[in-house]
Amino acid sequence: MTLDMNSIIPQLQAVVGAEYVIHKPEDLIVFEYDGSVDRALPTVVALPDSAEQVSECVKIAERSGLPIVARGAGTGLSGGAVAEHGGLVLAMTRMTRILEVDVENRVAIVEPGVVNLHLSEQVSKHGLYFAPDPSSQRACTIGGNVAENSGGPHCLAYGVTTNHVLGLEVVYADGGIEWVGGIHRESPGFDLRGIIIGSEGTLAIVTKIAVRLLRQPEAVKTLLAVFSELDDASAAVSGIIGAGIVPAAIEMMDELCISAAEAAVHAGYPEGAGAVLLVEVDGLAEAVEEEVAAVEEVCNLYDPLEIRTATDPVEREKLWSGRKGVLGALGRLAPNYLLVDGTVPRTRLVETLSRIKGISERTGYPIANLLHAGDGNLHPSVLFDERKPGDTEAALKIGGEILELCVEVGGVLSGEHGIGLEKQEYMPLMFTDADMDVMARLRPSFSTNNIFNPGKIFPTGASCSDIRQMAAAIQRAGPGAYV
Amino acid sequence: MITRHLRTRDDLASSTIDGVEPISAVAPSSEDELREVVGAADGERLALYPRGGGTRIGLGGIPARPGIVVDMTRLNRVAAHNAGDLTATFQAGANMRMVAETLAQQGQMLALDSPLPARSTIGGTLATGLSGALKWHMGHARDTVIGMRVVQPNGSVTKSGGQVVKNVSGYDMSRLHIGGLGSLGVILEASFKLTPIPMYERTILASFDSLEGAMDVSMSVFNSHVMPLALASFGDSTARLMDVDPARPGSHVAFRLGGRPRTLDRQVDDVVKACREARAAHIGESPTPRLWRAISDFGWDADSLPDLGMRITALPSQTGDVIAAVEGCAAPDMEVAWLAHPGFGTVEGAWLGASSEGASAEDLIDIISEARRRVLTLGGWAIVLRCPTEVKRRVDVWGGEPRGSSVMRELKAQYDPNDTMNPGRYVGGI
Repeated sequence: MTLDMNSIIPQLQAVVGAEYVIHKPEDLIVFEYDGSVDRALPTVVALPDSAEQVSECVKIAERSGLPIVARGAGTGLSGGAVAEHGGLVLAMTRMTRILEVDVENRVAIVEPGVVNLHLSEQVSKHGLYFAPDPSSQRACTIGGNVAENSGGPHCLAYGVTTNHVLGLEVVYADGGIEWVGGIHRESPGFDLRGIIIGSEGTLAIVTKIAVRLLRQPEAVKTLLAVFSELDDASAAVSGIIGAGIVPAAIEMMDELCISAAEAAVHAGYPEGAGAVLLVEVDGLAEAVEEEVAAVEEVCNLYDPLEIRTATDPVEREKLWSGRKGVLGALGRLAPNYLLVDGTVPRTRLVETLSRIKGISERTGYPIANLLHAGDGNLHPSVLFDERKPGDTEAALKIGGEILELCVEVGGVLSGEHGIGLEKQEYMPLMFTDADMDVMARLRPSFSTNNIFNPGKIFPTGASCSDIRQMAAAIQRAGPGAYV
Repeated sequence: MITRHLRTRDDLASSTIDGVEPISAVAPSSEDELREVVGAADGERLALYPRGGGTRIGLGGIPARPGIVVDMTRLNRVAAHNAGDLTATFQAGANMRMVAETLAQQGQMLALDSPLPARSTIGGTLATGLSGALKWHMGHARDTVIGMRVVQPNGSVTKSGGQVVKNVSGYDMSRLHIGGLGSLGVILEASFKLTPIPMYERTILASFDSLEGAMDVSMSVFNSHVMPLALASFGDSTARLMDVDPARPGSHVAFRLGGRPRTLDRQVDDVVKACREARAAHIGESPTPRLWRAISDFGWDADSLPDLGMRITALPSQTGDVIAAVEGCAAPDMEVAWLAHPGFGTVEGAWLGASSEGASAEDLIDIISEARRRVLTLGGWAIVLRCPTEVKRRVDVWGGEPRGSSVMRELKAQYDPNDTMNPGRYVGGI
């Protein structure tokens, strides 16, 4: 590929405006990484302001054979927005308009750069909100949520991004602009909307999103239960689900997380706490009271050290503070951590966590466990020190071992962060060559000419154990990381 | 090898789709047999028409050419029910009633209320992708699926997704098959997330003198804190065809409510209050299983099988306009009945000829074009669920090219290059 950047840059400038094309190496560094460990410098960054501008930029890049990576806020945790092969990064952060809010039909049309939480804030005056709530929701964009099919603590009851998106306006690799799905709850033909959501920017670039809004719940109650043993907390999670209760959220932290959180935010957990469960129930006032009572009953079967509940927003915030601060607090325990994302069947949580503990004991590396437990979505963090020779490689190896364990017990490689660059070499653990071949044929079906986010999702041919290329790029998942 | 599965002449007759009699009908008893049949048909350039219980086999265009009907009903196993995980996996031929009964033993359900569950199957319900009344609360059929295994036209079996409720590992290929009418492959097995059966359920049935009253109360509940499991509205003709007696004539709204005791009481109170505010002529209660079974079966069971059935979708707030459009499109000597899911913006219209010969094709074609014209002005769309073959020859049951149809054709070319799967029956002639 020979690239004449001297010709491409003025063309991009003509489309989006000179001040919205970034090409000096020192300016490009901000676009080098996302929330993951991966890094790569884009060749050029453009910030389009409309679908038409996106389309023109795509045509310019397509003509030049320049790969295109769409980027929201860069909070992703799997390298999805990293321009591994260089090329054009389309930063969607100028497209931040909420174009339409149809209160009666509870539908909004937004641009991809709208920050997740901003939408909920904007529609709150109508008593509505946008349900997917990734922990990065103060920063992450709805376009990014669509690309990764993001979840969040509350997706246990309300589902992930795809369950809340009705339609998408997209730009194809030939620059064509088209809506798939729409503002209606059903539309004929293949569910292209559902295929594009979660495709990590590899099939089309999303320029407008029609989302479904939910009515804010009448009441919310948070329950915090502290257990001395992790096994008891895990069993309580299975007990809650098994009792036919689907709370809005069930979050869990292990002893290491608790001690880190306690040191950082003084959440007031009791002495000897081995696991903390946070359960949130919302809905009708009566439903909340009845379900929290039922949750409490289940928790009491597993010898809790303490149970606290709160309905007042300030009190609820206090119960959540330890959980929300925990990732930042892990920095107190070790200079670096490797955050792993996997999901297992909920009934296998006890076994999985005990085997992770076994891995930690065998290898000598502490592993802190943070879980969206209601979904079976684990986030073990391997603590290490990159300054020690061999530590990074060891941490990555442990991460791989944990993923293998997740798959072995019937789970999957990623619950909510995506495959991106981080996990592509692990795909064969879950999928055969035939499975992946069928998936890969989506790209020619969308005639992408492989220019959209190339080199993502599928294995590049390196073996699972060949992780040195990642090791070379590893950084600690920085202050921008959220789970 | 195909002849090995050939069954009787009667089977062939019952497997006829829109007058196109199959070359043979086969009912594979194992995954391997199914793969063999599919791969061989594709290799020999024969068309394949997958079939579940046959309840909605008439959905879609006329088969492009005779082929092999693959009866999936022997592949009917519960592959897994992990009650503690609220997940289950079924083979495509699993019968919907058996599925419901299996799950109910553990107090769980699958939020897919397909018509005629004694006959319909998991695979057929997903392939048609038409969500029932439970979509009000539980969302689309597509939102219940967490993983899928599919037999590709070349006979290979591939999977996507998994058996956990939260997963972004690879592309979600099941999206192409849910509502894809078997046009890209044969659904072999699907994994679902399940829902606990509510502790108690009650159904409020309210009647209104005017359609406006029925729509007002529907929208007011849609935009309230009460979350019914289902909410459906219907007219007098529909009530009669469903053998439901709402006590007063007019427009009716049924609310399916569920939960723990106090929660249920509160919902009933709120719904009754909303009905009073919308000046209901009568507010009563209806036996839950029977009414919702009738609503689900409407337009598909032998008693109410219409000459013409359409499914129209617009915005929730336009539901009343769509109903008016449906009622406004009738020919002399024809009865028109409607069933609406107002919070979803979907209306099913059924037209029945008064004479025993049924309605004339001309009349039905006029109704379809008039209904489409009216719906188009609302920005919605309308598909034909059921009509005589003669009408299908002259009308596109899918209502023309949907948005994204060029990508859809590319998908067909990629995944079914020999045009083996259900040829001619899907949107845009796919």
